[in-house]
Amino acid sequence: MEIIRRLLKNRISLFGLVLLVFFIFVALAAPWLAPPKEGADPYRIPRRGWRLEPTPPSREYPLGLTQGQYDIYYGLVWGTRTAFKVGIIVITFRALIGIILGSISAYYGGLLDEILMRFTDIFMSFPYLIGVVVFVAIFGPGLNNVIIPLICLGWMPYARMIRGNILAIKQEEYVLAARAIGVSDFKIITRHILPNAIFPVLIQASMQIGSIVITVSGLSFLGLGAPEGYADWGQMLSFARNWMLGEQGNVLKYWFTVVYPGLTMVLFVLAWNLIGDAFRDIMDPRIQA
Amino acid sequence: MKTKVWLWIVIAVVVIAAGILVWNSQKPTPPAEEVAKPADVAGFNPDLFVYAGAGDAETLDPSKAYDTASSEIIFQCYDNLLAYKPGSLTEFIPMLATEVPTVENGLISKDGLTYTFPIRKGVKFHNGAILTPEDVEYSFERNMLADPVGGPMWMLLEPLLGVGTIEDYACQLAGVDDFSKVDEKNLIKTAQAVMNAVEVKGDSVVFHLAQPYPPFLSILARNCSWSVILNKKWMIEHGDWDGKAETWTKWHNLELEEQTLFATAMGTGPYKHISWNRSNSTHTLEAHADYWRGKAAIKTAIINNSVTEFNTRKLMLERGEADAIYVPVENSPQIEGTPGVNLIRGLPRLNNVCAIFNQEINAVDNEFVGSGKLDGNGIPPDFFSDINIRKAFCYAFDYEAFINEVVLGEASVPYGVIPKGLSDFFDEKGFQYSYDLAKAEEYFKKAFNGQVWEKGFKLTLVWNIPNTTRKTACEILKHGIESINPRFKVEVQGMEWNTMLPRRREGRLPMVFIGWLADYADPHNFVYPYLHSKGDFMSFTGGIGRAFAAREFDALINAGINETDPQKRIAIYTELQKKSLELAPHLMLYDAYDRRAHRDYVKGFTFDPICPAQYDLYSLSKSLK
Amino acid sequence: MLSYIIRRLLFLPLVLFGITVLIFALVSTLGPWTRVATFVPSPDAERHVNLEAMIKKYHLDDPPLKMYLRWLNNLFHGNLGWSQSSHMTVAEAIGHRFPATLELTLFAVLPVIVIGIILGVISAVHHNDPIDHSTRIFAIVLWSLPDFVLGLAVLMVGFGVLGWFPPGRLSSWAHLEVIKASFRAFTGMYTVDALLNGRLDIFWDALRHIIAPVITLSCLWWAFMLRVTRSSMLDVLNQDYVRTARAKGLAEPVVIKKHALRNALIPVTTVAGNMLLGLMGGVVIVETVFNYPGLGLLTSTAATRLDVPCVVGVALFYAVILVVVNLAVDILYSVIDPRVRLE
Repeated sequence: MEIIRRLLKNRISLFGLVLLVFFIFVALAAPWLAPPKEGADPYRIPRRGWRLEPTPPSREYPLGLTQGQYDIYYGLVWGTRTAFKVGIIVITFRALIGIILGSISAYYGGLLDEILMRFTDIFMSFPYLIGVVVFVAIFGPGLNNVIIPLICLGWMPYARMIRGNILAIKQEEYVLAARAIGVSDFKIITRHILPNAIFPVLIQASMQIGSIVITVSGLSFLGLGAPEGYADWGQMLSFARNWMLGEQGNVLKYWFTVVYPGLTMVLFVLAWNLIGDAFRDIMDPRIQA
Repeated sequence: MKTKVWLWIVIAVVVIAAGILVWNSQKPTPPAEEVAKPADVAGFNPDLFVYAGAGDAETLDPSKAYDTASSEIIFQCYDNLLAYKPGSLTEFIPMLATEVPTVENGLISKDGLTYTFPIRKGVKFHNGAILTPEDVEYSFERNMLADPVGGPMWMLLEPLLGVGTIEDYACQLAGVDDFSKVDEKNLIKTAQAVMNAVEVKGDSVVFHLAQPYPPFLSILARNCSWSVILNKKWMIEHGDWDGKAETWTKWHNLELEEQTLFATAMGTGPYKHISWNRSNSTHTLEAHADYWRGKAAIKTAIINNSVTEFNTRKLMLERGEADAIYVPVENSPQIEGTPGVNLIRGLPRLNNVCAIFNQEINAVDNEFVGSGKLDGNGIPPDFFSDINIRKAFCYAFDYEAFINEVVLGEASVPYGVIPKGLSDFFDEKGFQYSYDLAKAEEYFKKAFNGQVWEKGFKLTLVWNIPNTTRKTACEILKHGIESINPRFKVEVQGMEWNTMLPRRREGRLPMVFIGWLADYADPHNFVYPYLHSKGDFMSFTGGIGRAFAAREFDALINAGINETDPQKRIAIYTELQKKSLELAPHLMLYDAYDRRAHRDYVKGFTFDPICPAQYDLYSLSKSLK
Repeated sequence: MLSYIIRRLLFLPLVLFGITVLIFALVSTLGPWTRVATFVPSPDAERHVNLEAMIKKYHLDDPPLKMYLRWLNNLFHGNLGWSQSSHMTVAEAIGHRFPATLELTLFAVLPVIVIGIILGVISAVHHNDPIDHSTRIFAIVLWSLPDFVLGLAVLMVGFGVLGWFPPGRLSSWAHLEVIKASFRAFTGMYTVDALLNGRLDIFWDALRHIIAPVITLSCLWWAFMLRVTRSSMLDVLNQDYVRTARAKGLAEPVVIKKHALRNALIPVTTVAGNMLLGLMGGVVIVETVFNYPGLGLLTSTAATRLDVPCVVGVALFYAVILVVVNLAVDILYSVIDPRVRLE
């Protein structure tokens, strides 16, 4: 509670929080904000024509239509859900794998630790982009096939972090005491060690949700993300790639194709980063000027 | 502290010195050599032509090259025996031959089986060697014997030996089913057959055909990378086939990179191939000083095929960094009206796109046909064998919307399987489909005795990533069909080529979206793959489809290829055009047009629908006037 | 320390082995009909192709283990295989592309470190006042931008509007100079080669081409560097010895320079190593936008075309660099910070 109070006190992090609440609201209210057509997959952005050239905002389509006449407003609203979904799934599983492997490794130590850490090193040495591209090339494009390699090639820092934390805590007196009185390993890990080692990792992890959205958008740019027409900010932004510079004499002709999706994504990531930054300051007991 | 200060001072001095050097070097200091002058800094260099495209050549070896990017380079570096007369697809002019063979001048025998080409004298190769008839003979024999898998050599093997591959020929001779089992004697006999098919007679080269073949001259004409003329002596010196019947298998079906001409060229053509920088997909060409038609105006050409982003290419053209760029059809509005740039649109190329109806879908574990039954949640495997369904689909595609909105006018509604660019070969007043939902409804109601209309259906259309033009075509078709009856459901799904290939091969795709670009300018090159039971496209229609094609089209196609009278051929192909729409084996989507975008100081561009290169560099010049 | 280095280096083959097994395991899920697509450039190019013969020719129907062993055997003969997507051997492809990426990375590292550290220190010193807030927000906004958007914007402005920074690696006239026999390629990095050949005009041209991608790459990492330096600096500024120094009455600039900065930079070293790797791994988008043919582009085209030998080759190459750089960082770390012992 103390943390939240302090977050609210700081104007910058307050701004981040407000933004985040706004995005959560949009994600939850998507069916009302941008009602999909009856029976259609709501994540498919409706096309209002077949032309490639974007159409500027009008009364009917307040944010305009991007390349291929996809409705920007609709795409942004439903894309909020995609952003949360992708971010949360990737981060949850990364943290989960990291926590499990890290705590086993740290708690048991010895040969098991050695094996698991070398295993981690192998994954660490695997360039993530190659991993994602190969995975997508093999299993076909689509959000799921981006999420899986992002998880598989992203859990290692958490494993290392949690291992380090546990190694430090393991030597604390209360853990030694618990072991001395014969508490089971499982109980020691879950009751005594994890709660103290896990919190900083969880904070760190949740703050990465924003940057996952950026990573995925970069993959979209390379044609590896969601299928065309899926409500995904990265894709909407990469639709704008050919339209950033309008024609000569009217350079900003297609501004709406860049500005709206770009702004949305930046604000979303900004929200997470602002909160994360403030958190880091608050959590660190030494920085209390 | 003292040492640190010194360190900083030294660094600062170095940086400033470097800065001054750089600054000075960009000032136009009088160059020592005129050649080394950075000419495009000033913006205009009449000797240099820069083309920015996307997608590099696969190989420069004529026996293997079968993609436009490869042919494009080969086109500039080699000559053929003949060329098309400018503006015509039926008449020829001589190139390395001195006369175009006809029956009238006696160079084509009466039975259409022997073609004689008198060879031009005094033509120089890039290395200064003089062209001889032996070079011509060697070029064809070498390429046919090399015949690597996936190459274009079937086009010459078919008229000359009557087979699709040289291995088939050897197997036929030996009476075995596998090339590895062919014995030594028959291997030699195979080579001898090839060597007998192309012979030197005095100053001429004679071709002996296995069957009359009206498009034979088209297959030899300039633009056909597989019939360019190589330098025999140079080839042998560089380790290629030595011209002996006993040794050919050593050079047969080599790996791409093992072929002598993989990354280099040695021809008589207007340009020498200087370098292929494969890490940035750039070819550098230099005008051949001793070219027999006179040296080209553009002295150096850079073909940069690494610029995959359209946006980057566009900026390069705008800033004069490139003289010409490749513009995809959807992007032409972004070039239109750019000062100093000529955009030429609506060039009818020999290319059309269709959606093949798979008449016998492989429905085992097939994700594209729903339930696989006619129960409203899928389609039965033989769904498209009902002509009413096929015709209904043809009426449900909004051709106008596609042409006007997606390709922005750069296409036309097909008259059949032969594209508009070949209208010399058929009567253009025939039937065309139009977007007519009432008619589509009428045919849907007739299909499967009305069951389709009652129960509805569901199927998935697959397009190949990243071809979004095809995706939109799928969506337009979906829109048309779904607005006829709410029980009709069409899904659209994108797929990477490598995922698609096995599914296409196993016959799982209900409809195959695909295009055909002419190999040579003759309707046979379209009717055969599109309609013949052994053609490439009919192979996607299942057993029922192939039987249907054999019944309806094969005889007519064979009549067309065996007929030497041009007028009679026109009648045959007009008939095939009509039948190909009436029986609707495919939904013919559109005949594609082409476009060019170059700086206005690039002069001399003429459009040749069959030319593999975007620009015939030899005809170009740059002038500010 | 020596034993530590040896141990780490001995571990390298294991990492490489693991990576190859991972990739081959992934690829082994593909059937021969999927693999043959690598040899047919597009759906419309499958014409008159005898795919069965193609599969036979390239042994695409071999069992995965056999394929892996054949590949391994070739590797022991120093042959990484042929890259179908880049039309050369894998070793050649890496040899051509790596200098480009390295050049880009080296140019980007310097501004990132200098600017990032300066801004970070300023931000920490002015903790929680307007300067801190504005630099932080600046950093966070930069960090929140997708790199391709930033890259496209830099391209539009730098080339489209101003005409200063063209895409590619060289202008066409310089390209013609570079392919001449008289121009010797020492490193494959055009700026360096131009200087070694005494060609300032080419050097300037190469520099002009590299500036825009460098700006894009470094913008994102400034922000990162700034954040790391800031938090590390804040940490140090609250340490007892700094307080003591202040209490002694030393002037604030002296405290910061002499006492705080050096210690604050220790964690920054590790980050710099990671950054070097991150820069190399993250160049693909920048390379795509600026049409700069480096390793990143090689990787993405190879992977999309399922050019397995090339993908494996590049992955191995990256892994070697990764392990070596990490080792170098560790050693550097122990040199700077005597408290750290390598064991």
